[in-house]
Amino acid sequence: MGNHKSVSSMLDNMLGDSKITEGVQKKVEETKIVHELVKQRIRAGKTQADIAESWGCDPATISRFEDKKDDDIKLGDLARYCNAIGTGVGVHIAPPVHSRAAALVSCVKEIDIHLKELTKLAKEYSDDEIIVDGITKFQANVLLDILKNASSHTDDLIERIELVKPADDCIETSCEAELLKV
Amino acid sequence: MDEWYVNDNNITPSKVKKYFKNYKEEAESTFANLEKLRDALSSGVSFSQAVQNYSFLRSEKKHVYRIGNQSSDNAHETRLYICVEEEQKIIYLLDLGDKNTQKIDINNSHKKAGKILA
Repeated sequence: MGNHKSVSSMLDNMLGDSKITEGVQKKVEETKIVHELVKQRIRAGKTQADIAESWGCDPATISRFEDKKDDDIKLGDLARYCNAIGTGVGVHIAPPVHSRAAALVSCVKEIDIHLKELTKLAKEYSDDEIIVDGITKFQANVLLDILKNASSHTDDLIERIELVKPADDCIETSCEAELLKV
Repeated sequence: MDEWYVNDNNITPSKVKKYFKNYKEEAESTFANLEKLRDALSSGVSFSQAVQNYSFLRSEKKHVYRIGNQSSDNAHETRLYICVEEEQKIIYLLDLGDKNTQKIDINNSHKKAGKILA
């Protein structure tokens, strides 16, 4: 009896039957993603009608979407819903991590992606070349610093960087060149 | 954001147990909805926003609200009655019932909510 931090802990205390708690927890887990999306929509101050307008459909369609289990939602609908409430959505598929060096490369790639996004945003929202140049230089410096400081795993890093070699990015190419000198 | 709590001082464990025994799926769904509400309030959603946006949450007047279960064709309607103390961030459980007992359950809940929020 009293105040409980979660429904599971309340039921545990009240009934002492772990199967009941697990059943409720399973139901919560089944709609975790959809619940998060609905929360974001409410916090963004948007209604189902707003989302329906953005999708070009009836609000009842949005209501049905929000009643679905995570297993039943389509990836495309998830992306459209996120766009409508003004949040981003991304899919990150990482290679298996076999060593510290591989983990490092993976992190560097992740940082690089976000810094490129930052540069893109700076270009979109600012005409100030100094700001854009500053971010571009910052991006290059961050990558160079990380790679230079990873000298204990240089061979492994070179091997893995070759595996994930970027197509047409001069900054990354120069980083790679620097690394090869280490 | 501050966490919200659920308070079970005003509901009898035997009644809760009975519903889980007789209507397992529906009771699980109802209490899962209670956890969703608690989580949403803890993340900064206001109670009035929750009432407007969650179809499982309905007003029964006099500060009493009911939480229902996910509807399906064969589902038995389980109803969990609550009231909230927004300043203290507490959801009080008042009663549990179904469509057959709703009049009595709502009356009991109004009395309990009146005492709690007085």
